[in-house]
Parts: sequence; C-alpha cells; structure tokens
Amino acid sequence: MTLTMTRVATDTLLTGPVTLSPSGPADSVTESVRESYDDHVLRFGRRPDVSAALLAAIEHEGLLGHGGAFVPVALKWRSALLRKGPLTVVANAAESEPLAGKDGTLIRQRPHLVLDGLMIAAQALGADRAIIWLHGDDHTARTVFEAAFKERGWSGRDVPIEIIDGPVHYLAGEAQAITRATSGGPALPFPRRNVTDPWAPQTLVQNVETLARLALLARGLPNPRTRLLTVLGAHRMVVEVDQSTTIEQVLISLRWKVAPQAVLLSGYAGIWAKWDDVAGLEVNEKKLRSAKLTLGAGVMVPLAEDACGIRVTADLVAYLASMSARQCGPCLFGMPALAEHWAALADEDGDRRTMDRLRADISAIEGRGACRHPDGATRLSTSALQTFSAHLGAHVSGMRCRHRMHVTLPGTSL
Amino acid sequence: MSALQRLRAARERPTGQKLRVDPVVCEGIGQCAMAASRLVHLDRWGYPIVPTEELGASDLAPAQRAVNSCPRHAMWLEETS
Repeated sequence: MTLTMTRVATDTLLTGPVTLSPSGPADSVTESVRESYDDHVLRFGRRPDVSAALLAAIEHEGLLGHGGAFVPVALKWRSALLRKGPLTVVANAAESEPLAGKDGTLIRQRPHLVLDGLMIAAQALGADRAIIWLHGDDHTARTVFEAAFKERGWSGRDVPIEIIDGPVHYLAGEAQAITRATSGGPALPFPRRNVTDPWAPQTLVQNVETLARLALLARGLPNPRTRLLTVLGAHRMVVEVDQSTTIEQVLISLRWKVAPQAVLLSGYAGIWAKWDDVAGLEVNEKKLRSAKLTLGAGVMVPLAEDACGIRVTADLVAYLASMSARQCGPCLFGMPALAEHWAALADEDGDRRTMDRLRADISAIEGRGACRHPDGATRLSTSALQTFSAHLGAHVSGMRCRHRMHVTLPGTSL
Repeated sequence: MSALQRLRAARERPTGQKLRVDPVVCEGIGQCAMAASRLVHLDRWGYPIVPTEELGASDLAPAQRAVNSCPRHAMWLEETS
C-alpha cells in the first residue's frame, strides 16, 4: 500500500489525507495540518528569483497542468512569452465540480507553496498582475490566503496578489471564463479565437496544484510522483497516492469492502467505466490516457453493485444541463435534450428509439459548444451507454429495474 | 460528407482556410445554410454545423457567401495554422 501518510515532506504535496463534507468547498471535517510560513521557509528556503530561463527547466521536467486537461505548462508559457501585451497570471483555485476537493485541500494545507508558485510564474513571465481566483462560495480559502499574506508581512497596498471571488457556478473555474472575467467581462466561457494583435492583453490561467509543483521545480526539487484524488465513498475523501497505485488499491485503502459495479472517473462530466476494466489500472494519467481514460482533476466515484447507473447518469446529465452558461445553441438546446432522453430511459418510459435519438443528439452537439461543457455531457452519455449497456437492455424492454438502491450524488438534486 | 465529396476534396488543392462559427453570437437564424446548403447544415434546433476540415478550393465561394449572409456576423473564414 502506497498511501502517503507522512506529514509535510518535500516529495508530497499534502500534509495528510482529509475527509470533507459531501460536496461544495473543501472544508475538512477531520484535522488538517496547515503549513505555516516559518515551516515553509525552514523546509524550502525563500522563494528563488527566477527569469524566463525557467521555461527550459519546465520543458525538461515536462510539467503538466493539473486542473484536469494536462496541458503542458511550457506550451502556455511559450505563447505568453511570444506576445507583448500586458499579462495577468491567475492561480485557479475554483474547483467548481461539486465533488472535487483536491485543490481546496492543497490551498488549505500549503498556501505558501501555491503563493510561491504564483509569484514565480508572474516573475518569470514578467506579469503585470497576479490573481488568485476562487469559487464564489469558498470562504475558507479567502481566509486562508489572507492569513498567509499576513504571515508574509504583506499588508495594505504592499499585497502583490489580488484575491477574486468568482461566481458560484459549475463553469466558474473554466479557464476562458476566468480570462474573460479578469479583463472586465462576465465570468462565462467564450469560444477561442485566434488573436492577431500581439499587444492585446493576455491572461495565463494555471491550476493551484500546477503552481505548487512549479514552486518545487523552481527550487531544483523533484516533481512529486504522487497524484491527488478526491474519492466519494461513504465519505468524500482527499488522498495523495503514488502514481503507480491501482484504482483497486485506492479503494482498498479507503476501506471499500465490496467491489463496485462501475466507477465514474474525473467527475460529473466524466467517464463511466466497468469496475473489471479499470480496477487494475494505475492512477497514472499517461497510462490512463493510453487506455482512452482520464481521471481529470482526480475525481473518482465508485458505483455500488445495487445502484442503478442509468438513474445516476440521468441525474448527472440533468445537473450538467442546468449548469449551462446559456450562451450557445448546442448547450441551450442540446443538453436538455440529452437530459430528457436519459430521464425517459431511467423512468423505463423509453425504448430502443429513445436510445437512437440519444445517440443522434450526442453526435449532433459534440464539439460544437462555445466551451467544452456540452462535450462533457456527451462523453458521460457515451460512456454510460457502453458501461450500462446490459442494464439499458432491461430498461428499454419493459423488464423492471432490479436496482432498488437510490443513489443521489451530492449537489445534483435539482 | 459523402464519399464523392471526400474524393473531390482530396483532389482539390488546399486553401488553408476553415469556416468557423462563433456559437455564442449565432442565434440560429439559418441564413448560412441557405447561402451554402452544400457546406452548412442545420441541427434539429436550427444551429449550423460547419465542416471541421480545411475547405477545398471549390468550397471557398459558398463559404464566403455563408459568411456574408449572417446577420449576426457569427461566421468567418480563418487561416488554418
């Protein structure tokens, strides 16, 4: 078992595992150790001065973004350095997925590592502004950062970093929405257009875990070979495990006794997979991707044997449809259509034609949204059609659903 | 895209242009599909589905017509990079 239990070490990101309330901000219900500035400096020394030359180290290390998309950091940095417009660097701490809690846990436990990372990115890229972007209801996070500012002796006008509360919405942490908000617009996603003006203002959004890893890398320390996971069992837990840990080992370490029927990987807009197909897979993102899977921002939801995956999927798709930015056709009309098909299937009101219509609507909206939100719902739907295919057969042929246990995932009751 | 269209597209000299639509600005008015019915199709809610691949030379004129027809200026031609 490779579950990391050590208190703050240089090769882990968290000070320890925590149990969180079922959904929402990552407020721990168990004891959690916050690293003070003195401890932080004692362990790592002060923040090193850096320049754009840091890019070479980032490239060499192959540092990836840890917000879920795993975009190489070097890629974002290079495009930021090519352009000449004023730069805003954002530490994205908005975990808008109701279950995700790893970023919230990280900033509560090691705010100084994240602050160092943000200042390192800002210095290396010559940024004009540095922002910490929070999910609107994460009040603890603001308190944590303000306390951290005080520990560093920052006060009043000296504070080089702004804290901004984003909206309380599923899309609040979407990078394009943040970009739009920091340049004075609404915090809503918008379609990426090629920018032709090299002097146009630009925004670089990096996830807080990415910045914590950057803070270690800039000091010449190794990038921790661990992965932060939020797992929903009887409780919602955030753990840090070695990347070679298998999905089965993670559940065993969390005292999961009976094998689930399936697992939802990477969150509410994630991928369903049959337990037998994934139990032996490592939580290593590279390996998961070669199996066409992802853990995204590290969320894992096992589904008990006696729960109905079709009902849960219907709830999830309805939730995602309700969380639309209401800006584009595929989202405004396509997502409710998907939700309607899933509701019919869950209620045993549907037949084979419902499934055909669902498949047609999935392919109609895929890749056509202003942001990736509709794609999350199509990916979830496609994986559910595969994972629960046998059970769907029962639902559409008039046989009663034998799964009597009703599971409502936190935050999805509308 | 039909097999015939694919064959023709393969033979055609590449234009380095793509037809793009801004789904936020688009209101599903549907003029584009009338201006270039071979190139732009509408989904069942009336929003345009444009080809994701690079345009062939013979597509350029209809694509430009679709761009010009949009009362919301939601469509444009973009260099593929």
